Amino acid sequence: MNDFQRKRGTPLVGMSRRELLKSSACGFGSLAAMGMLGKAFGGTRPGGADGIPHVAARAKRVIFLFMQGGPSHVDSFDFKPKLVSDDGKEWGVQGYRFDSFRQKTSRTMMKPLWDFEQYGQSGKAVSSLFPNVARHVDDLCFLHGMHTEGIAHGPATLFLHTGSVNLVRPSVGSWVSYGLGTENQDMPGFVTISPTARMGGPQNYGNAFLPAAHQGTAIGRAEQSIEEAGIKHISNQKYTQTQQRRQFDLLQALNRTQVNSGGFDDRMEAALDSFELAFRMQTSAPGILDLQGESKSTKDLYGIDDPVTDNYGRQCLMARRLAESGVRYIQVNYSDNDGGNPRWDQHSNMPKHKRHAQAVDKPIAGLLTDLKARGLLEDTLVWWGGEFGRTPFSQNNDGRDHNPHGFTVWLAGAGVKPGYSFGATDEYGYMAEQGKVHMHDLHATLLYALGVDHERLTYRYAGRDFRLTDVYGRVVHEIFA
Amino acid sequence: MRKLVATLIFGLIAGGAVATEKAALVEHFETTIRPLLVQTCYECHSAESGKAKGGLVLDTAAGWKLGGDSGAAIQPGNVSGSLLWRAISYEDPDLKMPPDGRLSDGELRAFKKWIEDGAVDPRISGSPPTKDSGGGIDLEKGRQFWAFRPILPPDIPNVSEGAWADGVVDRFVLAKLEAANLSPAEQADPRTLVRRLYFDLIGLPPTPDQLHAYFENPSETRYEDLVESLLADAGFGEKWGRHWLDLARYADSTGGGRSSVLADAWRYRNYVIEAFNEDRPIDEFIQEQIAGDLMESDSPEERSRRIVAVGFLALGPKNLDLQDKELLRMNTVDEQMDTVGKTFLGLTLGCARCHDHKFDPIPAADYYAMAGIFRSTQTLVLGNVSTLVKNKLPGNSDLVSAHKAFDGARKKLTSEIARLKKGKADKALIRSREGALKDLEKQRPEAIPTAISVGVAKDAGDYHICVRGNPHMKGEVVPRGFLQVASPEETFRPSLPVGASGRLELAKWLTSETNPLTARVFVNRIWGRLMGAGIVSTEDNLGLQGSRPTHPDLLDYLASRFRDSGWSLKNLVRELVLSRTYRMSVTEGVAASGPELDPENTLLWRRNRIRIPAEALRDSLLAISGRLQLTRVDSALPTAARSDSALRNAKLDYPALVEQPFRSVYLPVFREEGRNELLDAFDFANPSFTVGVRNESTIASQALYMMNSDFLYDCARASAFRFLNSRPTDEAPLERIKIAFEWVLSRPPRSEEFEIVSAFLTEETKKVGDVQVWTELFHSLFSCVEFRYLN
Repeated sequence: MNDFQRKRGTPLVGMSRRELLKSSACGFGSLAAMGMLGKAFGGTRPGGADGIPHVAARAKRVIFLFMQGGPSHVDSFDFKPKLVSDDGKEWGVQGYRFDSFRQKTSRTMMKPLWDFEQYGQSGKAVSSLFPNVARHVDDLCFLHGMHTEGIAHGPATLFLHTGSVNLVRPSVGSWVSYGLGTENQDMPGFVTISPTARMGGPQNYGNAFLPAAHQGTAIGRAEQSIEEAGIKHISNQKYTQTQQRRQFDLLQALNRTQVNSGGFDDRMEAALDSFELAFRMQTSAPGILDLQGESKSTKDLYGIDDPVTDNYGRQCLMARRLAESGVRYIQVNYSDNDGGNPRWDQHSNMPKHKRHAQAVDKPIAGLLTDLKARGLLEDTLVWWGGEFGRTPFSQNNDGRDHNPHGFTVWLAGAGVKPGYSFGATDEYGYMAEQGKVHMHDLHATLLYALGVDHERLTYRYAGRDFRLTDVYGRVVHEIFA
Repeated sequence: MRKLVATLIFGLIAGGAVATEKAALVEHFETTIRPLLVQTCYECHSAESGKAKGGLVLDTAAGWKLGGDSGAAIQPGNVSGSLLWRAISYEDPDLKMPPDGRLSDGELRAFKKWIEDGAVDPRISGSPPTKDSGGGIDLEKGRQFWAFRPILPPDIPNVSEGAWADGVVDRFVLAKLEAANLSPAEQADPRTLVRRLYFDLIGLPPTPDQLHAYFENPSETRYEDLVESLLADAGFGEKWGRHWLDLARYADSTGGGRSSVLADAWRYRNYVIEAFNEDRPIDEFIQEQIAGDLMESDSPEERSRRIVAVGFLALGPKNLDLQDKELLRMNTVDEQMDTVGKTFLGLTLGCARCHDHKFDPIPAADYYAMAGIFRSTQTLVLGNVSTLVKNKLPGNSDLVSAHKAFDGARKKLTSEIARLKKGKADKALIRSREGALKDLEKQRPEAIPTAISVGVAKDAGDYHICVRGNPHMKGEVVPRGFLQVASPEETFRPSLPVGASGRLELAKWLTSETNPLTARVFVNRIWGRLMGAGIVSTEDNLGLQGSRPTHPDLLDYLASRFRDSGWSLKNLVRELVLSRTYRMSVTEGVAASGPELDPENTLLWRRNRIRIPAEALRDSLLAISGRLQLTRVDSALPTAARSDSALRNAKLDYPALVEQPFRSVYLPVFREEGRNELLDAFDFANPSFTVGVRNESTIASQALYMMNSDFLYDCARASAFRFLNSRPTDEAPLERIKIAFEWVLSRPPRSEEFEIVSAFLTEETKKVGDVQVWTELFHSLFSCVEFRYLN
């Protein structure tokens, strides 16, 4: 209790659980804190949904490195010798893209713009776009047979995040937060760093019909330097510390009398609790997000202070700190250019891919190194990928078009087979052919790694049980060691 | 080819040969097909197994002829058109049978031949097909469910004489309480009651002057007088209109990938507010939103209003750049079905899109009967990035005649010029006419305003069942119509000719006196907002998965009275707020056994404490700090953004737009980003769904907003200035505490509160300036729980 309140005194009769806890010397007992937190977070149990884990959990958390716009798999991780030899060859494509408008067209094959080299024990071929990530191939598990829904950015981006191209559904991270609950009562369960406001915007980290506590908490936004970003309203700009403490104590003293005279009412007490939680978050969150205490060598590892890699490097380092603090689902976005176009979207001028690769390559490699060194890679699932890939044939001379029919993502950590490649596209890299993994399947697989059966993680809304994978989804058991 | 041969054979060869052929076909069935069916299909589709997955049985010919939820399983002679073939051939990734593995190529060839040859099937025994017009659903049983029974005025219960109950509503409530050995709470104290009434009727707190005026009014009917004046206040439509906008999933942008501005959406918003302020009969209000464009109107103004009203159908979330146009079109239909189902009927129709409704007596055929009506409605102009339908508003008759005159004059001039040019007339003459045309162009009248609306689709007509909801998998055609379970016999499939919309008929069906749902759903919602919970607490779902009414007779009393006396919202609200039930206290004189006997207060032994909606929270803060502009607002968007372009091109200054100091109902609502932060933090309805009952979360981000946002600080500071300026300088600080509480909470402080604040003031005023201290005090009062929860 603070001085002011002690002076006034509080009657012991009608004392709330909060007061009882506060007045006990040790403050929060963990159990009680969990219980209260449950209420403050919209009435859900912090321990997550019923029956979880359904299966043995390999991962405690996910870090998703979202490459928005569709990075080209044939120029990065999916090497196709025939695409090199057939460079310039005309190729008839049926019903591509705007199905209702266009008929068969002829397209020109375009070889990768970057040379491939083999890396590591696994001998994985990676192009010179990702020289730093390439040194980690023995830790990575490539899914080359990815395919998805939505040929335009909007639908495909929403599909990646929510499993629906059109209907408003909860985001993957919201499902994870709902399913697993929180590990840290001072922090939200789902954080997204620098998300785009386009292509579905907040819907991509929205809770839809899940309880509000599972909405993604955004830190910054695309096009804003991460150095200026933070959690909304996390600090007070108008009061001195003394003033805020005084105002806060007055508020809570009034709240206590109102809760006590209001008859027993969970909701009023939860409101009172939410102020306590907010105050603690205000104290702890900025510290978690503050990178100043990191050593120079760590910062160098992520490419911080090098103008090319500084921004994404900071985001990745922040992700590691959030992972350490117990956040369940951390999305690190490489999002819009100025003007709102997705960064990896090179319909023309494929050479611009180089700029984007340079901005993320070293930070991602740094994150992998750092997670591994700290033992975090063992129970963190890292997912790298875009909403789709790009075509092996050219568009506008030197660009490539969207390709949801076949592309590559990679996973790392948390018991997925390291140095492993699963699935394949056709000889050009156009269509997924073997080991096909639909985005629904990837969602099911992510949940599986977290100990969750995607068919059993459901939420009843509007009369039926919803789940992330709708009526689809197959766990890709082949990639688990 | 095989079929052609078969036809030739049938055509040319005499009877005996036909019989031989038939015998061969039967043999093929018996030796090859029947064993395959038994082995691979009966497990899930036969009487023996007791299973008819997807409504389909395959152990009789009648079974596959009738088909399952998706329609007939086999079209004899037509392999590619047969669902069974599509399923067993694994052509369709969404429909693979048998699910545990594809048949061998030889087996598939046998099935193919069998279907090509006309699917001869001699089986007549086996399970009799159970399917009638409602599939596996027993509609007669369905009609016995309370919500589908006709609405009849119930008997009014007898309660003990001289009792608490003097109105009909109260008698129903008291009868239940007496039966449960409970008694109603005391009447709330007048201050609480006045504050409650202001918030519930107009969404704002009473000003100190209004409070004093009430207490200085000696009339015995001052409460009734206050009810009347608030019902007549423009704030009534602004408060109640917002509830409707939650149902209508109102927004000023489409959402989806490439979200577009809905520049004319505000017209619909203001239409709703006006309809409630003018107390337009709710049956007409509903009809206008379903079929306003098709209704006959007596004046251009009425016609304009109705074109705007039907925008209701178009305002839902969409992904306009979805490239699969058929999917976009059917998704739009689905969204309309879902919205209409929840909003008016209190049913989750969306469940019947892919199969018969699992819980409610709604076969998929009923879904597609109604969906056919929306399919026959043009909502979108399809294109790379599709657009919504816009209709011109003829309301301003002066403007319309100005356009007519202008168009006439222009046409006359242009044809004259053409004629002159053709006749090789004098160049000077032509030039002078061209000059005249130029001058005329300068006088072009301003554009006739448009509204987001709908039209009749070019291909209006009955539509197919979409198998498993997939628009590319067409099942049987279903005649358009309505829900069988909610219609009297023979009226649910009106014959609607090709080319007709069917919306007008739908609008009438929704509001007909035989519809058992619409009136119940509506009055239940109003009860829920005024009493804290609906008589059916799941306000958007009165079906089997919803909760049951706590007071079924009361609900029917209210619904029948509402329906039979002109569908008046204001009469309904008046009756409810004048009841003693409404006027009970939350805490005073409550039944001691209440918490034990009825912890959820479903029987209403006390008043439910209601959290004020986010809009009321924000509007109150603006009002108390003296900054609220109480004017009606049309478009809240800057002129430059008033076109339906992509949101990202509109370059909107979101914070400035959504912090404009007028009532929150007028702020633009974007589906993507940049909504007002306070509204979002306090559970503003997701504008992509029909929301009857908002979430009520209590989370740390709300507390952070109250503690640290500029808005709260600005309101607190402005209130401090306004307060200090309005009080006499020699006023004692302790007196001021009472006034400040009245400003914010409409009541004087309780003794504990008084002590806390007076200690705060006397100690702190010495150290810091008045304004700072009073800012902190107002900030605390604004954040306190009683400012949020209405006693």
